[in-house]
Amino acid sequence: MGSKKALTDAERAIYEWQIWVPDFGEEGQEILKGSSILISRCGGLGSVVAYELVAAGVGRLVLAHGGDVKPSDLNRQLVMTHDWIGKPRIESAVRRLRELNPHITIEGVGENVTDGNVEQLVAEVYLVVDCAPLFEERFLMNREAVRQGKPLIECAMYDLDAQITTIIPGKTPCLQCLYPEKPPVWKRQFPVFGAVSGTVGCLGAMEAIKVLTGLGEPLLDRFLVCNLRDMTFRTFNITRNPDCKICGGLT
Amino acid sequence: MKVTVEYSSQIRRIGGVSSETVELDTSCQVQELVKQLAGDHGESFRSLIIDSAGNLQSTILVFVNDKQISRDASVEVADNDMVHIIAPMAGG
Ligand SMILES: [Zn+2]
Repeated sequence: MGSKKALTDAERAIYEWQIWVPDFGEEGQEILKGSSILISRCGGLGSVVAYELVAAGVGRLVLAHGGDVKPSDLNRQLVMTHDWIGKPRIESAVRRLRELNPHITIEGVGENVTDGNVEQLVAEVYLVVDCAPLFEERFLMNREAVRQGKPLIECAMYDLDAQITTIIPGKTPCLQCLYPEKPPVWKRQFPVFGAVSGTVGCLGAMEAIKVLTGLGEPLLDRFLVCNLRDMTFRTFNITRNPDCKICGGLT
Repeated sequence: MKVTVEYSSQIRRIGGVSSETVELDTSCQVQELVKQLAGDHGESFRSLIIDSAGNLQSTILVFVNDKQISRDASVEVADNDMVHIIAPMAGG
């Protein structure tokens, strides 16, 4: 994935403690520096994915998120700030992430993913982390990531529950292998603590780092279901649907 | 034979039930068991799991232990199996 980029002494100092991680090292950091990632929406989940990837030194991050900051965003959307209520969310996100790490490139797109922009957004990056709150947007992203052969981290939450899997098009099940149609009951507004969306956001960021650098074993063909009410975390094996209308024809 | 069925997220919330253990005299298809139990916890619960034609909703994930069961697979439950019924979620 991506091309390696040599580190400066300043970067070596910033990332020193993660460079100590076995099987990651300076080479892993160079790969992250040469990588680019798209995060679809920086809400409760995407905010934390972005925070962790920015802190970890991913070279270029593209964020897509529309709308203005609302008071009800602030219990979980950690890149949104009180002083920015009523102003574009993407400006708050970019500003806060640049404060966290001025050494990387952060590109903000003030739109959610649509049929009109998804192809270009996905074309610009090596990997996508999907944090959108609607199946329409997630299906669009899944279709495009599969079409372009880009890895896609699918992470989601509801209440005190979370789910995550990592999709490698043509190798693992895609989102529509799991859910062939739009689930009829999903609603735009859902109960959420920031600590739940943040938990699965951290898992999603770690999956992205693992896929890009070859570290560890990502959740390929596996579906992690987390219940934070009783702290049960279960991993299930999942299989591709040969009749999937999105990835069924890929080998 | 004893089989435990666990419900996740929205299903658990709407049905007010997180898991139940059933005693069966004879084995049966997983899907049949799920359909049978779906009627026990109210109409909203049932309609989350069963579609208008009486089949399992295509967007509900069913696992026996850690193995995914596709809607048309023929799998019978065995003693001490754990069946997981998992609802889709897209919260971000
Ligand atoms: Zn598929």
